[in-house]
Amino acid sequence: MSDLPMQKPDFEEKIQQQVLRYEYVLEALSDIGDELCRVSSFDAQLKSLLHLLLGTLGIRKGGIFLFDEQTQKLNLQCSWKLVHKTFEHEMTKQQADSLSNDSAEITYRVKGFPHLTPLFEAFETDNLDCVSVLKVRERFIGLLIVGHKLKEIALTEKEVSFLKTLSRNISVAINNYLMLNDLRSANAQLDEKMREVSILYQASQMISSELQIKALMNMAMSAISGITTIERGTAWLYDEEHKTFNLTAQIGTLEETPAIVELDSSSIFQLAHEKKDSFEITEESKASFVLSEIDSNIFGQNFVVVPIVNQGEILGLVHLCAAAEANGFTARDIRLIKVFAIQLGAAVKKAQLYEQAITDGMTKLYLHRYFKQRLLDEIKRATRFKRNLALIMVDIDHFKLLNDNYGHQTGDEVLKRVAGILRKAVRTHDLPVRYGGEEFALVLPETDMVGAVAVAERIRKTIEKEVIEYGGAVIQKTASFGVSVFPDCAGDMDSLIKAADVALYWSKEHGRNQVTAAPSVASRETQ
Amino acid sequence: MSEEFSLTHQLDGQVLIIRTNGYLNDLGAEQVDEVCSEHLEKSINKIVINLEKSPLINSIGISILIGVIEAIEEAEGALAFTNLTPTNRKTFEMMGLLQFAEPFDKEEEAVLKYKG
Repeated sequence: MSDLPMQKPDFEEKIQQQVLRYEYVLEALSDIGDELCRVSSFDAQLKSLLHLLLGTLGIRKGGIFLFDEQTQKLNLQCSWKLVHKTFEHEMTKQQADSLSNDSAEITYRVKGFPHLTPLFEAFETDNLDCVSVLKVRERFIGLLIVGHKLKEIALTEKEVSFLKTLSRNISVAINNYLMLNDLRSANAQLDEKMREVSILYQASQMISSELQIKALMNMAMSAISGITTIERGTAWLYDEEHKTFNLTAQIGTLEETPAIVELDSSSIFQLAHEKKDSFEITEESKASFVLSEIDSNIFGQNFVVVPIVNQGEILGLVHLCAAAEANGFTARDIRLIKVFAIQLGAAVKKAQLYEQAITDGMTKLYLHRYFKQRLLDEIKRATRFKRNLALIMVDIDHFKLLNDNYGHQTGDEVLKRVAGILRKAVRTHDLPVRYGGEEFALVLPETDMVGAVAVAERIRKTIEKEVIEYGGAVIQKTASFGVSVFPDCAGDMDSLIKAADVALYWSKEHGRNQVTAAPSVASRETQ
Repeated sequence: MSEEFSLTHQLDGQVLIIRTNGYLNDLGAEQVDEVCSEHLEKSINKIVINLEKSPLINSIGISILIGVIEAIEEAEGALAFTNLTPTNRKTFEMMGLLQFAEPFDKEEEAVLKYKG
């Protein structure tokens, strides 16, 4: 009876204490929620979570280990008052698996925890009380260890159960963070891939429609400098007939790069020719590979060589030196350049085939078919820009006689020589053509009658002086010329050709080995 | 937005006085632990923590104060909390902090006791 009034306030006090405790715990849970929403660094967040947990339970010390699946290591990610600030523990696959799969229980007293004995031995002086296995959906992500409360008092069973709840929250928080990180890096990788694809697309677009091989190689070099920063570089085409590499494009300052390099004289060219695959010469690789003087002059000291290959056939190569500040090429750069080189291989082959299709194999001059097409284009352009366009027709004098006297082989040799003279006489945009048999044509854009006659006269003199020794015979030939100019002599393609033809005929009729200019339309009208 | 946590400290004879400012929920609160450790190393083991300007203390703050209590106990020193709000006082009591540290209404009272 007399006990009752004493018990009641005691009981009330206890209840009040409980309520207070729950309030405090609820507050801690809401703090954890807040913490999870905060954008801060992972380490800071983890540390906050650890402190929240320790403070809520009144525990003096603790730490969180994270498991790295790749290295199979358990790393002490954050710690408070533990004997080790950092700690690493290597786990076997079986250990990780057993922690992932072992029962639903996640929180243990350290004394009853059957795993990772060596790790707990290392923390023996900390007198740890409990351990929680952090896992999400059966995936082991880490370990939470805690010490005792003040004065080395162990957690009550209720507190252990609360520790379990908090551990779950921490597992989810860590997992969310890791997933977010994975997502971020996957996104970054995707962005990078998109960028790579778009770079390659642009580069391929640049080269895909170019059929003129020199222009193609120049474009390829500038496309490569769009892919990566390069200090300098050269592009070479391989000449199978002469076993040489011919310089076709270059960027950056290069001192006296030879225009033609024989395959036999350079080990770098030989290596590219044999391997048909890219390789890099760096300070390290030079230990096993000695650069000859010719190679280091052409290529420099540190560089990458990417052969241009089409269906196993080597067509040429590209050599690149990374920008000095870039410290060599990255794996990504090389990968992109290699992919680009495959496209370039196809483009070069296409351009070569096109060139073969429009040129005469023997004289290497353009064919009649292509001449007509180009002449029409040039007339359109000259009309649009109100410019002149000259056409020179050339015919070797007494060619039939030469064939009859010396044979066709000698005749062919003369054709080759004359074609060579024509090729050398023209500018980049001029078009030397084998018009038919022993007849040639030259299309000279932006050239008036005076200029065209001067060119014709120069060629006439060169042919006249050319001494051809072939098959024991010494031959000197001459040629006759007819020159017409658009729009002075004719208003369309057919009449332009006709005018030049008539002028050529006049040259033939009047003693050969001379240049005749077609009359202008104006002068014909006044006659 | 709560303002960032900061603290000032001074020595009054052999007594270290720490005055905190701001919500003890931030990792900044670790400074309390650092300042105490520094002085304990120099054999100053009587510490007064004035919490007047930290009316809100959450679990993070508690975890750090637990660490401080433990360190002072080991050094056989004494710790006092002063100017506690009623809420903080209840929390400290509940978490068992006041079994090891004395609460005082005013900073001067605690300093006076420890100096004596």
